[in-house]
Amino acid sequence: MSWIKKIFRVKPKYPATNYWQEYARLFDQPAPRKPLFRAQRMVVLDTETTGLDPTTDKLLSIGAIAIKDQQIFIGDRFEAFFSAGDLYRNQERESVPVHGILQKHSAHRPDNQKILIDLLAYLQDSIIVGHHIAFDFAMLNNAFLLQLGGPLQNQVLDTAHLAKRLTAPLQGQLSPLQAGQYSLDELCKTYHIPVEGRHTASGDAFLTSLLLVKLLGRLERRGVKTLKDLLR
Amino acid sequence: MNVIPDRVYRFLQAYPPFSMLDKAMLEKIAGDTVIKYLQTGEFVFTEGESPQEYIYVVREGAIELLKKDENLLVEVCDEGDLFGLRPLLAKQPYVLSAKAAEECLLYAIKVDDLQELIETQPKVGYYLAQNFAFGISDKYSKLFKGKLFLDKDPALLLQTSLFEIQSVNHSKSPVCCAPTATIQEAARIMQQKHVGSILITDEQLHPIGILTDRDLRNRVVTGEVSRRQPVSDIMTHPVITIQPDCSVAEVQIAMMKNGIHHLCITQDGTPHTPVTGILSEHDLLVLQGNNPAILIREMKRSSSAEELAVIRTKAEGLLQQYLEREVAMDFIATVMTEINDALIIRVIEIALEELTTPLPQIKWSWLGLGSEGRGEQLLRTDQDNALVFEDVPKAELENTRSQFLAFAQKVTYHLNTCGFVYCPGEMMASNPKWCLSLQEWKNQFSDWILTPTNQNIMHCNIFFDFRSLYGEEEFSNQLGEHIFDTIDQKGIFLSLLAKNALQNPPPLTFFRNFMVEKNGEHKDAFNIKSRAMMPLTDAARLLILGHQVTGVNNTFKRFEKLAELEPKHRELFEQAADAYEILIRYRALQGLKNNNSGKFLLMEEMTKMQRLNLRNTFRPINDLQDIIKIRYQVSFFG
Repeated sequence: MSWIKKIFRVKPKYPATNYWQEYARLFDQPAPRKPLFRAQRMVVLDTETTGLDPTTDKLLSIGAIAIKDQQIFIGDRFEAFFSAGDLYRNQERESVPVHGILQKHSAHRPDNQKILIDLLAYLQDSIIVGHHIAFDFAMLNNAFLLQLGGPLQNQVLDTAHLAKRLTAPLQGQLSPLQAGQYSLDELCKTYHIPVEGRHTASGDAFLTSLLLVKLLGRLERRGVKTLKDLLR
Repeated sequence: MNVIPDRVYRFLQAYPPFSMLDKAMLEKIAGDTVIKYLQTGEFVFTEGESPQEYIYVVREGAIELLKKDENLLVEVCDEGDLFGLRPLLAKQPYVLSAKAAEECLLYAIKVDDLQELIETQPKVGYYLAQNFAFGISDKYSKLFKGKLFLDKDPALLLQTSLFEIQSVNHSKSPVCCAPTATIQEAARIMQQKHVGSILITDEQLHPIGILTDRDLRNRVVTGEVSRRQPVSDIMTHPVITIQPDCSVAEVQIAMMKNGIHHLCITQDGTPHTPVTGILSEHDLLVLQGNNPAILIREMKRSSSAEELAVIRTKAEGLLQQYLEREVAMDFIATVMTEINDALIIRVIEIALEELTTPLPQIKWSWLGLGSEGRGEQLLRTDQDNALVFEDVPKAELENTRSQFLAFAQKVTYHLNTCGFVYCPGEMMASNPKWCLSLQEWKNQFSDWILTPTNQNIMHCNIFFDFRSLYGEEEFSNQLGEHIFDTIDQKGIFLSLLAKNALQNPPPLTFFRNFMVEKNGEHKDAFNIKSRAMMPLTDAARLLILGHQVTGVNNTFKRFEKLAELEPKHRELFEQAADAYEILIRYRALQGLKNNNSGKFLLMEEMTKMQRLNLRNTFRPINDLQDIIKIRYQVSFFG
């Protein structure tokens, strides 16, 4: 059914800058018919933010590491701290309009833009993975829209979701207590991943990458081989 | 450093050969590592496959190395083990297959990065050659024995020094000789001046080289060089020099950095001015306040068991320093034994003063048993002691005994106060069974030897290691002779003792895991005393009894003596002595850390390096037990 998706997918309009055009080109390439997830580069990432509302809060930092074919490449990582981040932390965020902040600290904008441009080149067309990734992805997407004027179109994979798939046959029926079992801390315990360096973006991204390969290993044993099976 | 490579860095840092690298090198390797995930049954590489660009370290899980179409299990690698080194050695296909025995995470390290290290870091190359190129069967690697505690941060050691910036007193006038002097002449000067090292200088007294006890031991005594050769043939040069106003910290750093034990002091700190002094590691230890001689003097002056307990605790600080600095075990054991002996003697004196009716006017002796008897008690463990008194007419015997028992009760009470707690098995002089006249003791030993039940053999193991600590020393000699005479009458006795010594097999399972306690309070802990030390202690005692040697009680000295007596097995006995030293060291550190007897080790608290080294100490046990089996034909006794 992927051809239907392809036809109906609305292609985002990107500014004419080199980095966006290069990024967009990656998604235009014809994909192999049944891509195996092992053949696909994935970027496991985590962000630190000023709060939990993607519409008002700001990115403070991002840490990311790449995996492919069940291998984590320590040399292929990304880490950045957004320069204006510290300034947002102590302000009454509700009372200051977002654009106001951006204008006020416009001096910092080139720095943050540079980070995002680098990040775009790092992400390529990889699958973005994270624990409860929806939030991080929304934060990132907003940042890209606001600062670089275009959205991300990477596919997204949530490790919490994968963990649930392995242990909870009936999705969407978790009590709050059960939901707690799928926190990163609890899952690290379950999968014997020693927890250190938590609560830095890079530290959490690394833990998540270890969790990811272990979850993928188990899913693979259950017959999940292709990207489609995985992103189901 | 980014937290991600830092995690890899900190893991690798604990394992050889990565533990030998400096920070920048290891950071580079960590930053380049690939973490590989494998499911059970997956292969990393297979026999005959051409070499990959990585070598592997097990981060989690276990890898089986297999040969001949996976039918033959050669080795199981677990956490921290290195495998797949073939690409490093030669561009040849793998000779083994590597298969995940369980879910695994591997650190894959680029061969290119390592290749460079092997060329620039001889230590790394040597380690890999020792441990891999010649197979795992390379036993008893000399280079790494005793280095159990290398993973301690040297910076931490420095911080613990008491007088870090204190200026070093080096008033000692240096002992020197010319480079043309023969080794024998130099050794004679060293002997006359009672020094452990001699400086070789030119005519202006500028230092050229240094010769130490260790060089003499290692190179001359072994026959490698002749004692008629000039000292310049074996001296270490150039000499590391330092200026006269150096601090303890500077000296320590210089010694540590250069891996040496002696520093030469010259007028301006360079080798181009005359020598003014020499400093040894030992001088430094003495400088650092916790001087054993001072502790012993304090003990002699103290007036209560409580005071003694405080001083004995200070001695523990001293012990800790010695252990951390890897001072020779021979020296540590001697010092701690001196301290323990001084304490026991003082306790006995205090108890004597407290007696309202003095002891009978006859000769007697206080005997230390077990580890105290062997002179290898570093920590305060259970007290094991006994008392022997001169033979008295039968009518007076019980009265005499009760007087000594009352006295012994005071002594054991005070020892308990000092931290040597009561023996749960009542192996104490305050027990009427172990407060005997000389004749009674002889009868007792005869009984044990002539009727060697299991219980009696166990008693022999404890009581044979006796040592006179106070009073009439002659009694212990007489008892020793009596034991040998009786053993001669009962030829089968040593065989039974041998059978007992074989009760504790080497403490490894088939997969080279430690045998841990199956149940009880210490479930899953490793009992270092009964599983690793006792087999060695028992073997040493038995073999030395076989040679009718008295007066050598210390287990590692027994092995050294055996090495001398049986040149055929010299290497094995030396290894056993080394192994025992490492074990005793390890137990002491464990005990100090947890403030207990150090008997039980928790596997998860140990680093890979420690586990590896500990595992190496088990190797001689098997060979020793084979010797015992053959020598005493133990198999005949079922």
